[in-house]
Amino acid sequence: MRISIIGILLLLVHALSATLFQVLRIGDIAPNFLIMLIVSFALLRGSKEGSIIGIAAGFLNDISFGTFLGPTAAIYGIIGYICGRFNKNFYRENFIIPFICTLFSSLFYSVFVMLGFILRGKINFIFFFKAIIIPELIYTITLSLVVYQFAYVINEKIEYHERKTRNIF
Amino acid sequence: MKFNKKFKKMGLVIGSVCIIIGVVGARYNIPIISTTVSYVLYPLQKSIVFISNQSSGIVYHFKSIQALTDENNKLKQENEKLVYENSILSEHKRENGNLKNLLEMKQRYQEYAGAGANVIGKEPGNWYKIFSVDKGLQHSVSENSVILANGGLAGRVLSSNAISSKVLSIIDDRSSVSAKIARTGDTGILRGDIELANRGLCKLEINIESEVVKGDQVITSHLSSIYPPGIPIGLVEEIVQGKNGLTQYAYIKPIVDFKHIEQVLVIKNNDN
Repeated sequence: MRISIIGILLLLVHALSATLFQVLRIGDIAPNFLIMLIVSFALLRGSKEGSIIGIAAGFLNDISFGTFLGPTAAIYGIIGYICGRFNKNFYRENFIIPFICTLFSSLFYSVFVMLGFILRGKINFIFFFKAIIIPELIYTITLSLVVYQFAYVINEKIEYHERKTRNIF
Repeated sequence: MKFNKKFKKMGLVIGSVCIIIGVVGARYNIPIISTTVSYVLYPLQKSIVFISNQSSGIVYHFKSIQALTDENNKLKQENEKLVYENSILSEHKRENGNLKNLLEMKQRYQEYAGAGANVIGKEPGNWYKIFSVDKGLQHSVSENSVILANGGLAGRVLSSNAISSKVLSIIDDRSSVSAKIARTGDTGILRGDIELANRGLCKLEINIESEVVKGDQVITSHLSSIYPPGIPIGLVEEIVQGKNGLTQYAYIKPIVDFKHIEQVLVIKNNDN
């Protein structure tokens, strides 16, 4: 149940961000929906599920648009694991934590991608930060407030359903 | 009387001398008299002609101003007309060249089996410019197949599975294409650049001695093993000197609009 719903959600978000959400680009900068989703579910469900969702989303990205398999999966997995660590320490209704977690996750991901450019000799940090990382960060954290609410509702539904089925047996 | 007598004598002598000279000159065909006369007359005639020319020139000058002005106006109009016609002709020349290129290109493309494809997804991130198309190994689209759109080069296939393929576009930072400037024939390496990618431009690195100017057409060169020669890529937008003084960079505006790319043409490579 949970696996299938979250799996379908990931696939849907990935497919949409490759096609329809291209319209959402502002000044050629698109938000990172997968990171919002990973952070939201990791905060709601803990580090184990967070890292699994992260690795799955990363593999999706790598298979569709990566040159080789792995790097995005690893980064998303780490993001899911670390955000999942905060699961026990905070209330779910608090929306400041997903906001801050998304901020740092997006920064972490962008810096890792930037590393790939630095290794190829493109070392214009100011440009990278000014033109890509900061706008993407702002866009992503703004939308993360909405996405977290959606993830919260979906998670409540799933947990309610799970509780019901558990009661039957 | 005295004077008259003397004069008579002298005139007789001079006359006889003249006659003798004239006879001798005529006998041996030496134009003595005419030469002498011409020596005397030459400066005189010259000065007379000069003065008369000058004076008549001045008169003519005043006379002909009106005519000259009219003629000048007429010539100016004619010149304008010629310039206009010339520009039309050069336009025609360019158009002719372009059409000829297109014709050649069409003929060239017929050698390769081409297939249309649709773009079904673009990289969601902001760093790379990869997109996927809906033709794969089933349609014999394999690695390094060349992708065209709107008659210009769009990229090459990075990898393909049974039903779809990933395409690395030429403005991606990891892409490099061996390119040639059609007018001068200089070859260089066309690379995508992250700083230009969002403006839809890419960077051509060429020799500093190349006389590339804005508006030159850039095509794929004969040196590449992936891209067939002669595919148009785009036009030179801007030229920047390199820091080391050995290279210059031309910013190329590709023909393909990567923001709104929808249909592409896949050229299957015959090698494999």
